[in-house]
Amino acid sequence: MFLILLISIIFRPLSLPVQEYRVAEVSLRKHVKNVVMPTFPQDAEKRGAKGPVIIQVDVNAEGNVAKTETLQSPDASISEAVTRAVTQWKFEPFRIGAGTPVGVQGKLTFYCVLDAHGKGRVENPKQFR
Amino acid sequence: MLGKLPKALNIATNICIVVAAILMVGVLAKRLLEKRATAVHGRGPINEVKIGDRLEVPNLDWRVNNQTLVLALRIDCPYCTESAPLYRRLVTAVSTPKSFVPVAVFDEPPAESKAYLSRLNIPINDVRQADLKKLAVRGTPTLMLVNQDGVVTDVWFGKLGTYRESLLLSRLGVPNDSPPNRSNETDAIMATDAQSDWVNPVPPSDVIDLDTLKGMDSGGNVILLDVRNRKDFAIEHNTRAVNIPLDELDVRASNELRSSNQIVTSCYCVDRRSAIAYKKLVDAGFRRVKLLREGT
Repeated sequence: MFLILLISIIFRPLSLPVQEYRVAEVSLRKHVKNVVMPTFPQDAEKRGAKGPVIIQVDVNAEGNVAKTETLQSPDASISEAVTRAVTQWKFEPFRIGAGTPVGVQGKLTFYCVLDAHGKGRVENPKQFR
Repeated sequence: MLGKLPKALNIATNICIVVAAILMVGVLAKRLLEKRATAVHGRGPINEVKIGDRLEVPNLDWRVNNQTLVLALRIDCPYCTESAPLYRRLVTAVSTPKSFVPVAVFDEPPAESKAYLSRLNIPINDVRQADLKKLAVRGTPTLMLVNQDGVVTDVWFGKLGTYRESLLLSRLGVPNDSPPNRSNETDAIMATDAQSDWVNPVPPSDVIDLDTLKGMDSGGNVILLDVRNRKDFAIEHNTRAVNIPLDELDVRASNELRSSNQIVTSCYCVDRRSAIAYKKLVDAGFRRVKLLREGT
């Protein structure tokens, strides 16, 4: 049993390659199937954090977010919240022509805004609302 | 007979343990090799060929030609196929005057590559096989202009839009008298082509120098927009500059800039990023846009 387990680990398919191509945010968002919007962390509200958040995402050939990197964020806790949310996004697989799915890399932009009462929310850029 | 059974079981167990240990070592070695391959072949950070890189193609002596135009292509790349008319034009134009020599580089064997070029009617004589990933070519098509020292002096990624096509032709001294054809542009996946939507150059009246910028600053309401990437911006920048990397401008401009602002694009570079940013902003409806001469 132990041997079978080991052999199955060794010969399991390797993870699919990701981020072979860069895509514009417009293309990236066109392929989104499932969106989970980030919640604004309360501690960031207290600090009055606001501004753009730019996350670089690697989407694998299966359409899952394989890796994220925060490129710009007004607050570390916002960065964590956005990363948590974006990791749950699902995409239609990207293809070149009619070919097999490929991994892609792109950027996602969000805006952290505070209303008059200091209540924060994370928004998509207006062209994607 | 029964007395020998425990001993046989003991030996069998030992053999199983040894085999398991060997397999474990195999698993670890495989994981390690996989990680190394990842670092080299791009599942890690993307290292893309750029201006100033030294290019090494096996058995290709750069010194033979004044300039070499390397066309990194793949047979199964639809953008390479769609770009065939441009490549035909480039290759047929180079014979007079001979300012550069085209070389096609494929991952695939030369026989297949030559057949592919022949099908597309692209008459390139020099066709090579090389590992494109080792050349830091992250996507195809990629065109690189290489000098006699093997240094990349210009690079074009992906299927080129009208403007970048005209820049390429201009850079290579190829006459460009055909009208822009936007119908063959695509919004699909491209290697790294964020600048494919150009129609007109920046009018001279919208190009300003540093002195003019200082005069404008005294009036306020001026945004000096630096469109370089974050890394370059972090190394050195004007303290008044706002950084929006060029590839983020399409999305961020309408969210972060006001049309009432006087926007001055700059990139402190020689690759026309600020000019491309200027055009993007004008196309997005910004009417008060200037280009900083030092930033072109």
